[in-house]
Amino acid sequence: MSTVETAIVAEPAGAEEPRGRRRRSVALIVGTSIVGTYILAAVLAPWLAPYDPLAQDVPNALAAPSGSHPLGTDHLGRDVLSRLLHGSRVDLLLGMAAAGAAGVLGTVLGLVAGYAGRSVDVVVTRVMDVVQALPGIVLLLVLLLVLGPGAGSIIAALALTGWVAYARLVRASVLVVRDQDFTSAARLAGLGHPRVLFRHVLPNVWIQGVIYMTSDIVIIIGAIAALGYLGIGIQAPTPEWGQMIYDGQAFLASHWWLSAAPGLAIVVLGLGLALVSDALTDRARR
Amino acid sequence: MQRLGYLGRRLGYVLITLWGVSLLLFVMLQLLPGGPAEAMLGITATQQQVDALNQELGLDRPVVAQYVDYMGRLIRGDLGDSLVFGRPVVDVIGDALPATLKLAVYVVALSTLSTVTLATLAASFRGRAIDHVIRALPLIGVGMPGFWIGAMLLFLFALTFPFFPAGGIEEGFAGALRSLFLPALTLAISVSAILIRSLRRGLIDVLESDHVLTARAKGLRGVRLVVRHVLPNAAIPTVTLMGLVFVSLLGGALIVESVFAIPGVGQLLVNGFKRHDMPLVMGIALLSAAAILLVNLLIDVVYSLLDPRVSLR
Repeated sequence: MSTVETAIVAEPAGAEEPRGRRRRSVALIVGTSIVGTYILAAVLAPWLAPYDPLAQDVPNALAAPSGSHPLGTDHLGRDVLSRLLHGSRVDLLLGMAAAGAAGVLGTVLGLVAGYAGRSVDVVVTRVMDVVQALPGIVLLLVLLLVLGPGAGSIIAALALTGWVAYARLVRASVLVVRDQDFTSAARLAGLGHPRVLFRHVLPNVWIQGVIYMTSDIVIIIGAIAALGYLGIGIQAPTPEWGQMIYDGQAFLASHWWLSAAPGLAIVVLGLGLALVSDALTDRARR
Repeated sequence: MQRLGYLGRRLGYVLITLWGVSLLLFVMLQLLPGGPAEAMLGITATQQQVDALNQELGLDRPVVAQYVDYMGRLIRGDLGDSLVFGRPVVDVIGDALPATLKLAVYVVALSTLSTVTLATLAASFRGRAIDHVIRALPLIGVGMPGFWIGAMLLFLFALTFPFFPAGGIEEGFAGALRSLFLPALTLAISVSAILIRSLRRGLIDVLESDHVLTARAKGLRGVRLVVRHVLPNAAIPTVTLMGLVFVSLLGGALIVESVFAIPGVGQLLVNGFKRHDMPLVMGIALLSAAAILLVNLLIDVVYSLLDPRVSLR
């Protein structure tokens, strides 16, 4: 799943266009604003949400959008806008936690593999090949069978599935940095390997991982939502976008907005993160 | 001769990786909370039932003996029996495979068509409005969860405007073509989002190359120029992406099948997961890994045939 994203990130975005540079900074501003709005919405959800996201009002179920319920109510009479806002806490927090965990794990393994070389490198590279031979969702399900349900398991399973892309990026950069003069100088000055690795190599390679993370979060949130949609993610009644899309699907013909709204929330967030990621990639290239 | 040696090495690599996948799955099986038998039977099972299943599966024996047994069965192509269906996993997957394969072939056709059309349009009108629109599409497409695109297409073209059935597969070629259109389109949107950028880049590079200039000088224009001289060369870098596309296609198909109630491998996987049918989930994992590795091998070979400059090391 995440390897696909590597291909998109690796694509030189707009670099060939003459007016590309200005467009890039506009893209960065728009993207950052979108992502910032989501983070604000997630932080302020308890104050922004007009209703309790769990409060049921069955007589008022499946109400159309109106002044009191801007996005209507779901099949249990819960306010959809409130659930959407609170859902941003669940999806965004889980997505960032999982991407962060995958990033740290992948960066450490990529550092070690690239720096240590030889047998360690071979072992790590082989493990990466094995993990990437499985479709993300399949490995995710196998891991979740072992880890059991719950938010912690979902984060761990996503990290264990997603670290490979980070490890590959970091390993490739380490291979370049490892043999440069300043690294050799640090080693000749008598610094130990851990110190050279974390003080001299890491500062030169971590930015790649961070840029990748901006687009990886979208993919991971998509996976969390997919689990919710399949009924094997965050358990009801906790508001989660994928679960909301699934719940709404039964009423598509008459209440399409129930499924459309949470999906649009993911799409717009994805667009924002993609814009940020593109602009950062372009900047790092220069 | 050189090519044969290369093929042999790559095939060896595929086998090693596949063995790694099987080892990973075996370790997972050992790590199951309460052991595989309890996970399979659920918490309501009595100790006697657990013991009996453990003995039946050979799980009361030492790990090494279990592993030898496991590998022995794998090599003979035996993936064990599904707990839910009570039949060999290979047979259960075999029954579900045609639906998934039909979907996959459909997606490949649709996404090739849309990628080539859109990328050619974008490259031909480079820098103009249509180019910007086409280049923006992947940015939106990447963030779109496949199951959500599916649900929205379902709402628009099956429920609001009932052009297509809302789920399942209809009999016959025309029926399959009609009933699988929406799920295939769902996946083709995600797949094209990956490929359009790459092909557009390749097209622009080739359009500016000398041999195209020569062809133009000889009076070749429009569709004929693009189809005969540009596309074959521009497609080569995109071929390397096909491996990634296949993985995302497989993963996506597994989820989209649930949206459209297609009785394929994806539904099997989700149902197997929900009912803790470990042998079934493991079998699907192993077979999808085998498929992915073989497709990647095939792509490498095709790539080396397409581009003679690729060295076969």
